[in-house]
Parts: sequence; structure tokens; C-alpha cells
Amino acid sequence: MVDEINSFYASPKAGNGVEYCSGTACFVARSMDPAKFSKSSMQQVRTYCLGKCYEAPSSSEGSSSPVISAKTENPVVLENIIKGSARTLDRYVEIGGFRALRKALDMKPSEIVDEVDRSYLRGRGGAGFPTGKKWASVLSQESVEKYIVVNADEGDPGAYIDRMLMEMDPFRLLEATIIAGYATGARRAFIYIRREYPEAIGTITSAAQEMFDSNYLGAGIFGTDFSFDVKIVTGKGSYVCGEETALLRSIEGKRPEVALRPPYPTERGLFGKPTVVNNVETLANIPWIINHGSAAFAEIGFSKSRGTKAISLNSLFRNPGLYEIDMGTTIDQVVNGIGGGLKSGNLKGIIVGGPIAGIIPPSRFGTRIGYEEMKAIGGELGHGGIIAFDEGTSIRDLISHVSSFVAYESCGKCTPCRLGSRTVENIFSGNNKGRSWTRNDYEILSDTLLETSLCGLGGGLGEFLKSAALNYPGEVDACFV
Amino acid sequence: MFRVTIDGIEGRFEEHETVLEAARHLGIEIPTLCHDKRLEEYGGCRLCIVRINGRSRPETSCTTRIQDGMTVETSADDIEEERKTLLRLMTRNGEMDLSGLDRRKEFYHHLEHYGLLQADLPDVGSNGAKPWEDHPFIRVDMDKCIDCYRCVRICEEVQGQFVWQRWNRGDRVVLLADGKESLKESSCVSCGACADTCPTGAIEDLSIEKEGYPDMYTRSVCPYCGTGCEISIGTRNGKIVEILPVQDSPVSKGHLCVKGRYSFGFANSPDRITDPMIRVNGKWKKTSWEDAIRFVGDNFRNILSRYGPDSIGVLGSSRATNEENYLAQKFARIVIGTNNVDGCARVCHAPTAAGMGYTLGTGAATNSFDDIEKTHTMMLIGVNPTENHPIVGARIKERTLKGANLIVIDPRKTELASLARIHLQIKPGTNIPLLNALANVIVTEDLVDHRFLNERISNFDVFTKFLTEWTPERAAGICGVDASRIREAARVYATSGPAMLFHGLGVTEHSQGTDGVMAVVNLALLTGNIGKEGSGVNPLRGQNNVQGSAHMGCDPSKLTGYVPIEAGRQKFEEVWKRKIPKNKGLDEMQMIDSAASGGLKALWIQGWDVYLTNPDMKHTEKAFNSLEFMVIQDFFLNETARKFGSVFLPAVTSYEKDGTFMNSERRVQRVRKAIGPMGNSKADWEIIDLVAQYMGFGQDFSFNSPEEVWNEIRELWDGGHGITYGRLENGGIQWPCPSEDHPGTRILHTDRFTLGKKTSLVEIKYLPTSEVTTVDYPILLSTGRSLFQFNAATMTNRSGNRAFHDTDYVYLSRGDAERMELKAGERVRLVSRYGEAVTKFSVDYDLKDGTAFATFNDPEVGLNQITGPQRDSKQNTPEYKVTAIRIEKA
Repeated sequence: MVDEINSFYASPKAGNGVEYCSGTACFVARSMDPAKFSKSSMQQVRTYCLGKCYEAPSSSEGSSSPVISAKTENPVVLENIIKGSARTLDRYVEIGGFRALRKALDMKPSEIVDEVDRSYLRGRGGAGFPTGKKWASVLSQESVEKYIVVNADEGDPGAYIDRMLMEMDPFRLLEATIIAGYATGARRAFIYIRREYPEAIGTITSAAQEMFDSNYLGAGIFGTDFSFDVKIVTGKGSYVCGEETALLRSIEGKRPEVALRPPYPTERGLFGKPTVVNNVETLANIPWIINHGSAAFAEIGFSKSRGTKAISLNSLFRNPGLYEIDMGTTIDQVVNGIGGGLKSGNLKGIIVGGPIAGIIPPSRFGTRIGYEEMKAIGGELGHGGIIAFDEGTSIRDLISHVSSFVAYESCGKCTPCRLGSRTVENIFSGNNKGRSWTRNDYEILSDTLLETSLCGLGGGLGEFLKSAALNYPGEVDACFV
Repeated sequence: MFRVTIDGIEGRFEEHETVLEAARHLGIEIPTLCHDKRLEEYGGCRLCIVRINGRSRPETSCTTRIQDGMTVETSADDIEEERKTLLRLMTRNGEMDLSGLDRRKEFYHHLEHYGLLQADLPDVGSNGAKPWEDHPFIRVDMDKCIDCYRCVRICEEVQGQFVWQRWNRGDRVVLLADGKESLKESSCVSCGACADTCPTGAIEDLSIEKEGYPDMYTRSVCPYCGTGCEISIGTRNGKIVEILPVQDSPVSKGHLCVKGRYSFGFANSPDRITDPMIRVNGKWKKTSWEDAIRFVGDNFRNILSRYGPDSIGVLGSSRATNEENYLAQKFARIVIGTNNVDGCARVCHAPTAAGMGYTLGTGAATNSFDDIEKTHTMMLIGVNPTENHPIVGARIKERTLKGANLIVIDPRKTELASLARIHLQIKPGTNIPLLNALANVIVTEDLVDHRFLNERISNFDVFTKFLTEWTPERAAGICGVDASRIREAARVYATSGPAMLFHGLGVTEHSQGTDGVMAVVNLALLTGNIGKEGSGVNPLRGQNNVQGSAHMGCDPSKLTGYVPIEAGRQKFEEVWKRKIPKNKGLDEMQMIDSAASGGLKALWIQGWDVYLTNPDMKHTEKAFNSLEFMVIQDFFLNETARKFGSVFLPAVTSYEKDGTFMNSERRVQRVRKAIGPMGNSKADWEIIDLVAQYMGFGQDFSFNSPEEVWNEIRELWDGGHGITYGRLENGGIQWPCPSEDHPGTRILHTDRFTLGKKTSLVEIKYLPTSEVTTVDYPILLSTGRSLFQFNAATMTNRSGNRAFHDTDYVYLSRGDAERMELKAGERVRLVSRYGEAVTKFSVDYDLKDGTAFATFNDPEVGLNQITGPQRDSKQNTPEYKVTAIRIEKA
């Protein structure tokens, strides 16, 4: 049973040495160090994104830190990091840590949930579901056992936001997790961190240990009768585990296939109990909202997207790094202002929120960044990772790369993702086994992937293919001559 | 009810239904592949997508619930195009070799419908998967797999076996059995559910590959155990080529076990006897039916005139229909004029019928299999359903996996015992102390249902006094289990209701068999676990119609409807227009004794290998050698016929005739003729008619069909009066069903017991069996059957099941095996006070030292040479479950 489940994952055997990243940011930067990137394709088990897109093509060996900077007047999730990171409990307390937790423990759970609800905070993992609504749903469930699950499986190539938040400000995440637990009636949290982030696993684990030792976690926190337990679970190398139902199944030790919703995790989640699943950045907003109030938070941003957003820029930018911006900043301000354009070459387009979403061509850079606004131009906000690519990457190569990623990571449950992604990969890598494919086949495959896939993996590939055809019609057509 | 419009047609549907279900109600077909009603919703293949008004993307209709006012479009052009694309992808863009697909199944139909059968690639090839061909019944060819995982899911969700596994992910998934490419070498129980659900033929019945597709299917009932699963018999040119589960069967819910599904080969076995035979000078001689019937009739007349009616006995069969058993006892009572009539229940569940009848008024299961899904706690006593009633076993297993409490009382760690919360591994023969101790805990810890006791029990106070001496500590010493575990079991059973009791031959086949049944009933009465959903006392009956056989009157003291003779005499004499004999009849064991001592002179045995299956073969042999005349009616020359028969009347299998069977939960179901009859063989009812007619009772036995017999039964049996053949078209009816507008009865004793408003608890004193261990016979042996072989293996051995269970095995504890220096597979001699037999040996790591278990399936072993003369004190059922033996190297 265990072997069967483990066979699902793509973890290199222990002691395999250096890993080379096959992620999209490294792919589009392959010409910067072709020898290094080519090692990624020689790996038996592929590594999709080490979260070092700022220095792509990257490997697990050695590492610099990215530039981290707040490009907002109201830094929220980066507020501690820009003051210098807080990797010890003392330092965290010194810069104001745990004020929010103390304040929250004096509030009624429903008051906290209302506060979060009024802030208009929405999930920063991409789906944009209102966090307050999610918490309210779990709070309303009659169940002795409830869980908080922190989705720290930031698998979208191009994003290294959650990674840095965990590595440089681990106590903030833990503080927010406890608040989430107190607010919803949960007494236990699982933090699911992808295996590609060994340093984050280390910092969070030692931070939690320090907190247990100092009564910030465990029985009777701060002498109250509220007890809270945190367990850290390490991912095993599977992109779909970032999808919440697959992630929960992975924690349960089951084959991490995507499950049907409803029931939603808020009703029947981990081990069948009501569960809040929040990603790291979402939770990182919570202490600020508790400390400054929901109104202050809701004043930042625009439209239905309130507060700030952390974004990460890949190595092709002149200024790669992690930035916090107000929601509503235009793409152009980010790409050309903050990012400073490309180091060299002509910008062909950007991919936001991971490769399984639409490509955004420069003609759309006037768009303001927000959940609905990004969707309206065929893209996604996603995690907020931004990968720019230049003319060195043809659309044929990009499609081949992205469909290969999807085929590799597909859980295999639904037909379009399992087989459609491989078919697209075969077409675009020239491995079409004597079959002649037409532009019409491409349209139908894109539609089928987009409309019939069970989750965002196959569906996102469909979106990607459609946007490629829409924005780069000549290049796509040329693949079928 | 919700109003939903699908493809312009408006309908009203139950609120819980899916769009797919609603569409199907309207006759609108939506293609599906991963969907199977037996399984949880999955939504993997995506073929059943539809457009729903107001939703941005198509939804899978199999997983989407309807909503009031919903508008659905099922076959818009773009949806059809996407379905076609999905199907093409499943053929691996045309690479799959489509020639081997099962043409009856969904995948083939969909490919045909979407015009995809002509592969558009020249280089048709395989995905490299090699067929698995080592299993005797199932062939696997994963080249045809489309990854719907129905095999994996049905193995988990219906059979609870977890054999099929998905390895790897994405399009690299391979399906393996326990991690290997072999079903034969896996923990597969050969239930065939995966082959049944597979929508392509990747997992296929081998018989289909060999014999071709059936051209006809006939709905009938399985000929094996008392679960009464419905089967769909697939025939081609008059031969059975496949048996499938019946999807809408209320009993089996679209599931079967290895016996029901695959063990049908016996019907076509070359050694079927299809002509009557008479033994002349020790040799069998073929003859005509006329001569054979004359020979039988003349011999009976001769013996009647010389010794009188009570010198003749008739044994009905649990394998035969209700109608045939009815005729067998009618023949005995009015043609011969004796009450010497009995059935196989004597050697299995007669104590159940008697014990439950005595306390509750009805000697049959109080509840139904459908209560399994409603119960919170199940206590199994001396019963091993995953092997012997596999469909009930699978349902109990699934219920346990979903969180119900399971308590198992058994000397062996059966499959269910290994899943149980509490397993009380008792020493064979000590049921009574344990059951009394459980009752003691329930009473002393005040876990009783006071309201129930006040309303329905008349002697609680007296009973309490009796129980005081049966402390768990006292029972622990006798039974060999911890007192604390007895307490825990009692608490769980009494406080986590509703709770169901199941028992089997581990309760009845003891010197205190009937007492054991009554002690079981006591537990249900004390806790009020009777007369309500999810509770009750539920015997699992051994053979397909053992419940019906006795119920039809194959019992020396009971008439049809399980009515005591004197209570029914007037009515029966009126209907039959004949006198019913007054003499007390002999039961089967008494007939053997009487024959041995010269009393009984002739015996007509129908469908029962008595010599092989009765205990103490030496005694049986002596008895049968003393008979002057023995008629054997069977479809094989069984061991009894071979050694002792005077005349052989070739009967047909239940695949070859019409009639009804009655299952463990009182359900009468229709048996239907699918083939035959083979050669000149005849149905039992026809044969009995012919003999009766020859003997001058043509008026009383002038039936032209089983239905005519059944209608006479309905006249006599009030509880079955409402069950007509017409009403049995789908799924059967549970008695009591007194009138034709009565729906049947799922749960007995709801407001009152059959015998009255109140009943009494029964004080059961412990009278240890005289079968005890000594220095010479240090091991206590229980016998039983196995998953792959049924009883004397008359049917299963002729159906290929030797591949799984080649001969009889004796299982010993590891400690005993090491002491005796035995090696697995080695032949050993089992020696008891009564005889000896040689079997193969195997270790059962979970057995306690000093206990052993052996199967009795192999005629060549003749295990009943060693079982002894001890019998249930009230019903004479043999004590098969306790024999003191020693083991010698053979």
C-alpha cells in the first residue's frame, strides 16, 4: 500500500546530489547557462521549480537571496522582512510579533472571523476565495475536531513568495495559523511544505519548536485554556498536491488524486473533518489585519481585490526579486517600472501565476492587477509569480515545455489532462508517430482540456493553449504547416 | 422534488439525484465510462459532461446534483466534439488494438457511436502490456485499459479487498494486483467484480474468450450458499458461458463471489449422469425412466408391505427448490405414510430454527442484509462470512471499514476477526460460558434496555439470579479469553447500538447447539436489539435453500410453513384430502441409527452426499450397508451412490429448472431455467411426481409446473400466501407476506414476537461436551469449508476451483507445528477416537496451541472418518466443531 502510494510521487532517492530545476523560469532562461539547464533534463526524476527563479537557470547548489522590497506605502506581508528578518523568537517579539495573537485571544472567535471578513482578504493561492467566508464556514460546523491546513506547496514555477515568507519570517506564519485555529475552533494545524523548499522546512520546524518550548504552542497558550498543536508535513514532489483536495489526501496518506467538490474541505476536509485550507501568503496578512483593523486593510487596493500582493520576478528581468505592491498596480508598472524591463532582448510576453494560465502579451500591460481583471485578459493572478520570456523562446518550444510539465505532473484521474497533455507534448516536440495533426485538432484539444478537465491543471493547459493561439497566431499556425 | 429541464423535456426528480440519473429517467442517454452505480461518484473519464444553464464550463452529469429549475443540454455539438476527442485520446490516438474490445461493453459502443472504430493510424500496436493468463477464470490485457479505475474502486468499495492498485501517476499509471502482474498470485478472491465492471474488456472472463459471447441471459439465483445472490446466466447454444451479477438484486446489489460467478463448470462436467441407472449384481446399468420409476415404486411397495411405512425414510435437499422439498415431504407423508422426512438442515442449522422458534416464535433471521448498512455494531459468533457467505462478508467488511464496531467470537482469527475491534478467540466448545458471561456483564453493569425488558420480557428477575454465577472471570477460565475483553465486548455490543448478531455453524454444530442459539438470542433481548432496524439475530444459513427445505416441511415434526404437525393437521388433511401419519418421524441422524440397528430398511436421498458429509463415516457405512434399498437422486454419482445406491435417478442442476429458493433473510426468489435439461435428466419435482403417480397417487401429484406446486404451498402456508410467481419477477419477497398486496417483511418482532407480546429469557446451563482432549488426543479440531470449495466440493471441484484449493488441509498453530516438526504442504494423518484421515498440513499463525481447523472438501480425504457421534442434545445436529485428535506424520 505504502509503496503503491509512494510510486505516485517524484522524489529523487536520498543522496542523489545536486538537483537542477526544470521549471518554466529556468526554461525561459536556458540560454543564460545552457550547460547548467541541460543537466535538468538528464535527471531521472524531474524537479519542477526550486523557487530560485530570480537566479534561473537554478540548481539546489549554493544560493543567493533575492532582492526583497516593498513597493507599497503599506507593507503588509513583507512588513517584518523589510525590517530585517525575524528568525528567532526573541527577535520576532522585539519587532512586535505575537501582538496580534494576544489581541485575538482576547476576542471572541466570531469577532475575529468578522474582522477578517470585513477586510475583504481573498485567498492568495490563486482562487481568490474570501478568507473570512471560509473561516466562517468552518466556525459554523458542529464538530469536535477541526483542522487548519497551511498550503505551503507553492508549486507554480515562477513563484518564490511563500518560500521567502517562510524562510525569513517563520513566526508570522505560525502566529497567523494559531489565530486561524482559535477563530474557527480548530486545535491542530498541518503545514504542508513542498520538499523543494528544504530551508523553509528547516526554519518553520525550528520556529515551531522554539514556540513549543516557550508556550507559544502546545497546551494553554499564554496561560489561556486555548491549546494548539502544529505538525509539519513535507511534500514528496508532486505539483497536484498544491490543489487542496489532493493536498489533504496526501496528508492522509492516500493517493493524492484531485477529489470532487462539493463537499468542500470546510465541511468535510482532512480526515473527514471541517478544515480551513489557506496558503502561506493569505495567512501572512492576518496579523496585520488584527493589528491595524479590517478597514485599514480594505482601504488598500481596488475593485474586488483589496490589500497588497506579493509578486516575484524571474531572472530575465533587469531587477528580479520579490516585491509587495498594492492591488491595482498596472502590469506595466510592475514589468517595466519595478522590474526595469528585461536585462537584454525583446520581451515577448509574460506568464503570471504559473504556466498553466494564459500568456499575457505586452499589448495588455495596461491592465491593473486584480483577480477579475487578470481573468478578463485571459490570464490569472495565481500565486503572483511573474515569468517574462523573450524572443529566444518560440511559442512551439514554450508549448512543448508547458505541456510536458502538465503531462509529468498530471495525477492521471481525468482523461483530458492525463492523455491530452501528452498528446500536445508529442505534437509540439515532434514526436507525433506518423500522425498528421491539424490546427483544428489543436483547437479541439485546447477546448477539451479547458472545458472538461477535473481541476486547474488540465484546464489551465487549455487556457494556455488558447491564449497562445490568440496572441501568437502566426507562430501557432506555423507549427501545423 | 425538483423540476429540471433536460434537452427541452421537463421532468420532476428526487432532490438527491444527479443530472445523469435524471436524464436516464427521461430516457436520455449520456455516455459514461468511469461511472458504475455500485461505486462512489468519481468523475474521472469526463465523458458525461453536459451544459448546465448558468455554469461557465460543462459539468460531469454523474457527479452534479440537480437543482430546482435547472436547464441542461446533453448533446450540443461542441460537447459531442469534446466527447469524441476524449474517446480518441483513450484509444491513445488510435494506437490501441481495438479488435480485442468486449463488444458488449460501454467503450466499444461509444467508439462505434462516435465513428472511432476505424483506427486512423496504420501502425496499430500495443502499449507494451502483456496479457496475464495465469488465472483460471480471469484474463487481463492492460493494452485495453483506459484508466477509469473501476477495477480498483470496485475492489475497494464493494469487495473491500484492495487487490488492484494504481502505481505511478499521469499517463504512466500501471494497474497491478498487489504490486504484481498476476491475479492468481495476489490476494484476489476471484469475485470477478473487476471483470464485471471493466468497460472495455481489459479484465475479462476467460470463458468469454474461449466460448464467445452469450446469446441469452436468464435471471436466476445462485446454487451455492444461503445468501441467495441473484445471477444472470449467460448461455450460448444451450451452454453456460458466463455468469454475471444482477445489478438491481436487493440481496447482492450487483456483486457475486468466486462460486456464484465462476463455479458453474460442473453443469457441463463430463461425468454428469444423465440416464437413470439400476445396480444389477453390483454393477450400474443404464435404464429407461419407465423402468427406473417402476423399480423404485415396486421396491417401496415391497418394503411397505413387509415392514410398514416407518421403515422408509425420505431426505429432501437444501440444493433443491421449495417446490421440490414440499413434494418430498408430501410424498413421505401421504404416499409412504411416514413422518420420516428430513433435510440437510439437520446437519447444520436445525438448532437455529428450533432455538429461535422456541424463544421468538419464528426460526429464521429477524432482520435483513440491508440492516448491515444501518447498524453500528456487529457481533459475529462462529461464522466466517468472507469465506462462506462472501457477499454478506463483503458487506460486513465494508461497513466495518466505514466505522462500525465489529466483535468476532471464533477460535480462529478469520479475515473479519483480523479487522475486528474485539476478537474473543475462544476454545472450541465453550460458547455457552462465554455467551452467559456477556449476558452477566450486560446485567451487572446495567447495560440492559429497561423499557424493552418491561414491555417484552416476562422473567428478567429470575434470569438475573441465574446469571450471577457466570462472571467473566469464571468464563475466562473455561473459554481461554481475558475477562476484561469479555467485559469490553459486552459493553460495546450493549451500548453502541443498534447492534446486529450473526451466527453460523460455530454456534449450532455443538452438543449444546440449540442452547447456544438461545443464549445468543438472550443477548439481543437483554439489550433490546431486536425488532428494529440495524439489529436482530441473524443466522447465516449454509446452503442456497436450506432455509426453504425445512420450511417446506422436510422435518419430521413440522409441516409446510414450519408448523408443528398437530397444529397443522386439520388444515393439511383438508387440503390434501389425505390423512397425515400420527407416528413420530425420525430425523436424519435417527434414520442412520435406525438403519444401523435394523429398523429403517429403505432411504430415498435427494441431492445430498450423506456418506461423505455425515460425521462418523464408519457408523454411516454400517447403517447404509444394513439398508435393503437406497434411491439416490443427484446429478453426479456421489460417494453415497457409488458405495450404497440401488438405483440412481439423474436430476438436473438448478440452472436447468424453474422454481423458488428461500435465502437466509426469508426471501423467496425465482429460480429460472437457463439451459438443459442435460440428456435424459429431469428436475426433482418431475421425478417425485413420476414415482408418486406410479404408486397410485396421480391425483395428489398431478403438477404440470413448479408454479402449480407453489400455488398449493400458498394454500397451506399463511405467511407465504401473498407471494405469487407473478410478484417474484424482480428481487423476491420476504415472508411473512400474508396477502397479495402485502409488501413482505424486512424486520420481524417489531411490536410483538410471533409467539406473543412477551417472551422469556432462557437459562442455559453449561453442559460440557464429552469430546475432550487427552494425552492420546491432545488437539481440538473444528471442521469447515473454504472460500473456493463448497462442502463436499461436488460442484466446485468440477468447476476449476482445485486451482485454488487442491485438497483438504489441516491448520495447526505455529507452536504445535514446530513441536511436531511439520512442514507446510506435508501430508499428515489425523487420528481421532473414531477413525483417521490424511490431509495436507499448513500453519495458521493466529491459531492458539491445541486447536486445529480442517476443511472437509475433498472426497478422497473423507475427513468425516474422524468426526464423532456427539450431537446437539435437542436437534441431533452433529458436533462437527469439536473433535479431539492427534496428528501423525503420514
